[in-house]
Amino acid sequence: MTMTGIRKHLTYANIVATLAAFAVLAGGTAFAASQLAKNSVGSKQLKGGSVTTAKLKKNAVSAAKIKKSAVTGAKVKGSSLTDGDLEADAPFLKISEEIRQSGNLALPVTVSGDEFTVYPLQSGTYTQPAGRTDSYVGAVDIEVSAECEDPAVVGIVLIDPKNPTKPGTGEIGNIAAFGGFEADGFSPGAKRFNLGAYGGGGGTRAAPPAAINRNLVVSVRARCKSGTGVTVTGASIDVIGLE
Amino acid sequence: MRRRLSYATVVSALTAFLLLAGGAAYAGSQLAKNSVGSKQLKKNSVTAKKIKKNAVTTAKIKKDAVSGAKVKDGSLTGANFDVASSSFYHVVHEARGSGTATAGLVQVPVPLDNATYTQPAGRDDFYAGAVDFTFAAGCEGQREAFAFLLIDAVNPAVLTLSEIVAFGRWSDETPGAASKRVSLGSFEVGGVRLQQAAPVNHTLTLAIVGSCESGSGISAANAAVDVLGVK
Repeated sequence: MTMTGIRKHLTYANIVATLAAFAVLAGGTAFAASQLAKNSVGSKQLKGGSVTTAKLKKNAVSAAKIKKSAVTGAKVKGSSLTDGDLEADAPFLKISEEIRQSGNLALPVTVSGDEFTVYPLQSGTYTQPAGRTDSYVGAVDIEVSAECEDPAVVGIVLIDPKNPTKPGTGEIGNIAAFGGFEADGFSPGAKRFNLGAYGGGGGTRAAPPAAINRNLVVSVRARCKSGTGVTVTGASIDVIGLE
Repeated sequence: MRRRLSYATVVSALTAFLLLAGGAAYAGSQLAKNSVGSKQLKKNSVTAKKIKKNAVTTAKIKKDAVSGAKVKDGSLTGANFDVASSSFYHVVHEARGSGTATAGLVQVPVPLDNATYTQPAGRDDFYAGAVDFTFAAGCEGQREAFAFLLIDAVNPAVLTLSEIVAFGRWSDETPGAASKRVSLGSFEVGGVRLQQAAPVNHTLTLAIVGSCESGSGISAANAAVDVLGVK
């Protein structure tokens, strides 16, 4: 085609048509993208695996988006779960109640007597819920004077006792924790002895079908070979529960 | 008719066709980078298959989104838990020994490594242990061996009631040499160290005593102690 021939076809209609075709073929990409309508891209338009980390907004994966049982242990970071991630009544052994008492109580001291003295607790009661097995441990803090020769002190935690001053008579099944301290030539001063879970009687309270109120009592007995001067200065009980 | 088939007419018609018939598909395959935003996505269009493997990182998961129901039953193991910080009853300290000691009427310690530890505030500690006892053939008749786990013993050669936290015993009358691993259970007379307000350092001693009706030859080795803590 000669230049004359070309000029002959440079009409308005030809120029506009050519520009329109160019716009569609060359610039169609940007045009189409900027004009994508709301909700126009569905699952079919998305390639498999096309949604990468960078495409996901922070916190976009909510509970509703996670399928039941989709998270396995392998997906959970090692050592990342703590007690707080478990429900409160998770079936693990843990301290369920703490009973603390301080205050001085001078014990009557004998050489061989069996009488115990109750160390009063302001709050020795608690409720054992249904389904929880409880066991008991404790500690007794004492002060021994220099006048007490070869002290021997025994402490017990009783559950719902009828006669806490004579635990040897009908209360064996109510002894929850037991411990003692004895020392020849013991130097005077403060001492703590611990009360271990008692296995010889009813050292545990098995899970009840309904909640039960419990009354815990600390009874202590002191002996000195000669002299006196044993004072209880405090007592502690931990109830260890297993749901 | 032929007169109407001008260049302009043909190109215009093709352009219109591209726009109307093939435009959508064409444009879709050529979408510009970052042109599909949240608004363009239909609800629930991002299915599991569309998400790249391992694309869901921690930051993408909303707080508390992973409930127990989302976790596959039986899939969690102890390794998933931060056991060291757990309040639940678990082993908090282990002491082991490989040495041997000979038992007599006076108690002697069995070698134990890692015998000291710190009990933190607020934790009750319980104790269990084990030791391998051997009666030599020369230890005859009624023969007995005892193992005591002592804590913070002022004098490990002297048994003090309040220092015993675990206890084990083996009695045997069979003639000849015999060996047995004897376990030490929590001592019910104070076999606990109740929590205190401040951390407390403890020293553990596994001591043995033994007797033969006649002769001699009681030994113990491979001592083991576990401290079990609960908060």
